Amino acid sequence: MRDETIRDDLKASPRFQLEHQRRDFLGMAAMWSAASAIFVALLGAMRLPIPSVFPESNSRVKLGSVDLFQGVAVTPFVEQRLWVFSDDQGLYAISAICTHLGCLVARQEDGEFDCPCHGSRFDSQGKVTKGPAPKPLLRLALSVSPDGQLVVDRQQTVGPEVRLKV
Amino acid sequence: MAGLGEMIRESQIWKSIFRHPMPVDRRNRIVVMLTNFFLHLHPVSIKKQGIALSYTWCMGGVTFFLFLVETVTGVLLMFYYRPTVEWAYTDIQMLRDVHSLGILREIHRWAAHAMVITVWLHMYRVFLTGSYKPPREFNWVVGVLLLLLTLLLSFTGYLLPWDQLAVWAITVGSNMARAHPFLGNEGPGQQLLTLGGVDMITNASDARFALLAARDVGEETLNRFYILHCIAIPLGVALLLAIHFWRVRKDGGISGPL
Repeated sequence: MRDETIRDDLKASPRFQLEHQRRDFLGMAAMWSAASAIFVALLGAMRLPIPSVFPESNSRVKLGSVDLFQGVAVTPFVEQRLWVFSDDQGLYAISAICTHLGCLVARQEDGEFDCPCHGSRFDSQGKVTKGPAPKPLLRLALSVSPDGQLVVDRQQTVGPEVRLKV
Repeated sequence: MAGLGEMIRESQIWKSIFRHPMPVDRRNRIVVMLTNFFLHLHPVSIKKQGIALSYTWCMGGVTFFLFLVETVTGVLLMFYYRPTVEWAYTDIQMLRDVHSLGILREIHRWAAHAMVITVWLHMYRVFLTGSYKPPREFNWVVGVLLLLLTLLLSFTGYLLPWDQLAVWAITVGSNMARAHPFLGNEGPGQQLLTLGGVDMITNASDARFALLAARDVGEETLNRFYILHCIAIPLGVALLLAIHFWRVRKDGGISGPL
């Protein structure tokens, strides 16, 4: 509106045009600052769905004095969702979590494992004998703590040949 | 009596709400539509075949009706449900055995099943009648998003009873997210996202973890699904519904028979 009252010769002057560019620059700078601030804040908010502290219990759990497992063929741990086995080479742990979609497998009388959700079957060593499970049951890393307790790490897997020698 | 009606219609309160005369002629019938918040999403007038049941199946309308049923019963159920491991299962049992209006939970469940069916049938009808074609292609996309949100509402609601079926269904369902490309820790492209030899996508940072708020279904998952189910997803649905209905009108109304 004000522009209409300004004479054309004034509008054409370099000083007038400079003023306008400066005003546009400040306005755009303010707008882009606000936009980038909102963008960065949103990026920060995207971090929120990932909690900083894992709510579940520690992945390393003490299972009991290591002497208790010597010569005991199989010991189930319902809470930890695993079995500890013992053979003449040492101790090993098999996870009860089906490698298909995460249900808990059941150990049968004959030592094989059945998954109730989609019918996967595993032999007594955890190898797949019937699908749809794509991989054998996980072997979990065992170690002995300084106070002589058997420790399992449910986040660390080992090969099927690994045994804890005591 | 006529005098009383006249008095009400002439009162300031009435006139402040309805800012037009009675809809007795064509002009005022149009004004009623245009000034009413709930009707303004709809066209002032539609073609007769636009409401032919054999053509539309009314599946979109039924889906919206079921969404309203879900909202009303859902709000009432929230009064009796606590989303904690300690109480969730018991509260659902109490709805069946103790509270006199526990049948609301059954209505909520059946309406949810029905809504998934009707939203698919609505999509099927739109496909069969070619109503996804220009100029309605954007509304088809909005509809696909609404379908996804409907399925997500079903998925998140499934966990809330916190029984064995719920926990294992969500365990299985969320485990599928492990295989998602780039977003799941066992999906293709997971190896590409490493920084200095450290995997960025692990079982503690992938899509499943964001969904469950943990490595396994637990108390945090229950809380997260409850908030998604009751607040976040319904808000998104409400927003998209408004756009969906608005675009039906702006894109030329319900498409006619070919």
